Amino acid sequence: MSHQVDIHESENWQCGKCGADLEPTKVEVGYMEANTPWSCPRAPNAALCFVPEELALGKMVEVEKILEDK
Amino acid sequence: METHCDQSVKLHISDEVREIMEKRMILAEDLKQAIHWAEKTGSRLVHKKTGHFLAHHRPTTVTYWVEYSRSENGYVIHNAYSHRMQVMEDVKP
Repeated sequence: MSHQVDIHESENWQCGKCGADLEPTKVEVGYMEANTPWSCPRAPNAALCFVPEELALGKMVEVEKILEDK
Repeated sequence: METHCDQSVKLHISDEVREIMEKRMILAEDLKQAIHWAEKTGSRLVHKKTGHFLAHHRPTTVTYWVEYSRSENGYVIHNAYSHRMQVMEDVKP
């Protein structure tokens, strides 16, 4: 099960260190010893991933609950 | 990851944002640590239109995100949220 962050919100943000735009990057997101592949906008030079509020309070909460209920 | 931030740093939090923080159980101290880390390392995002900064910090099992801007004597908090899932920010091979 992989997930993807809405690209539109990420276009509003840029890296605070070098000003680079965020690039969709495959990362792993872990919770309770389970890792899930995720495509996250990421500042390429700062290794800084962007997790928008909508994702944190939406899909992430759903996945957390699924894993907690297991 | 422990951070020791200046306790005298002032956060300007509107009633609306304070209500959001209470609802989401986010403490001002959590945001201070995130801001402190971002200001110290430069590891933060910048909004292209508003110039707001977006910082995050994971002291234990929760990642706190804070959208903020600088003021004369501290920082203005515009939004805050959190999540428990951990993003491995190193690129997946």
